[in-house]
Amino acid sequence: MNVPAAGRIGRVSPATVKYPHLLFTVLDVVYALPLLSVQEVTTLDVVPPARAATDALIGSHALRFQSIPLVDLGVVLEQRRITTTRTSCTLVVPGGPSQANTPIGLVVEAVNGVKSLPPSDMTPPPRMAMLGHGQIVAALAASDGGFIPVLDARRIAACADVDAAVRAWRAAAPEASIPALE
Amino acid sequence: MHRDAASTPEPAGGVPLTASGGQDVQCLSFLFHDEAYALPLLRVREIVRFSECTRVPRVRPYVRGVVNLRGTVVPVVDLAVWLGQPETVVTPRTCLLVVEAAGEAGTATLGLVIDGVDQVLDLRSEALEPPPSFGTLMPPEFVAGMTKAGERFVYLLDMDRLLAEGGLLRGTSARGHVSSLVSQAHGDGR
Repeated sequence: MNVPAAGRIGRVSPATVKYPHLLFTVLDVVYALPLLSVQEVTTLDVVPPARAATDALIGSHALRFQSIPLVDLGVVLEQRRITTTRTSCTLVVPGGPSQANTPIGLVVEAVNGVKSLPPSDMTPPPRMAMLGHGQIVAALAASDGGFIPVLDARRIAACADVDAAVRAWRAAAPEASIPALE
Repeated sequence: MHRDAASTPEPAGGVPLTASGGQDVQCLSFLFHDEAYALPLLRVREIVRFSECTRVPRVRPYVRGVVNLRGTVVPVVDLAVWLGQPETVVTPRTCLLVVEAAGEAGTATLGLVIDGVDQVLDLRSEALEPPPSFGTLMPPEFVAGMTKAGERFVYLLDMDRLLAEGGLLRGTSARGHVSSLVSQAHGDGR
């Protein structure tokens, strides 16, 4: 049974939170993902990769009957690995078509909660001096005098770092992506 | 630059130095890595205290992040990093100089991390000397001229050139810009 992300961090009523976004921390920056794009939030339970893989790939996670790749979101966002602590957890997001729709676990430093971020508070991110072509920040949401970068789960799954990590994970353990029980 | 008084002064930093009627143009001088620079006051939108900014992933290292300036997204640029220097150390005097500059894609508003605001200077084009070809942090092609204010020299920044040719918006480093200039020079010599 899938446990909704909101169920892991408390009850969220659609009536009180109209535009629910999951807030989480990566390398001391608070980011947001639309709550509906997160399949679930799980504790960090890593099976290290069998061989040296890409920087972004941490290992595998046994998600009930399926093994999924764990990707360090710090490497994806800032090319730096996060330091895992007891608050670290995994956000499970859907994989893209190139990853055979295998769910991907994004490892973050902590989950902060759920917040309503209405579209009226969002502005496009600056295009200035962007690196690469993939823009994984969908918008910047004004909040408490600052901004919260709002990420796009589909774009994260499609970006080169994550794609390479999933490929390396498949190459290291091809059977891992096959469900253990059918 | 040293020019004939009768000649029309060239625009410096995107703003004509001598306004109609022969008045001086006011410039704001600021401290940046132990050097004093200036920008025409008309190009400076505001000066805000720099405390912290929101880091944005997947941008060049010299873009420290963005700040929320009354609802507007303003990218924060650390010119020191762009120039290949260590990141500017934030002190209680560190400010964000919010400037407007005309780039290739239109006018851009950005915040420059500076070590502190110095003073407002009345600059006249006749008082400007050509910048030195070496010895300054900023490459001379981005300095419209220099003048003496008290005991120190003040370098007038050419902000438009910095954006248009320096590649700040495109994401070219200062080193990359200088390399391209050198390769162009070699190409010319062949």
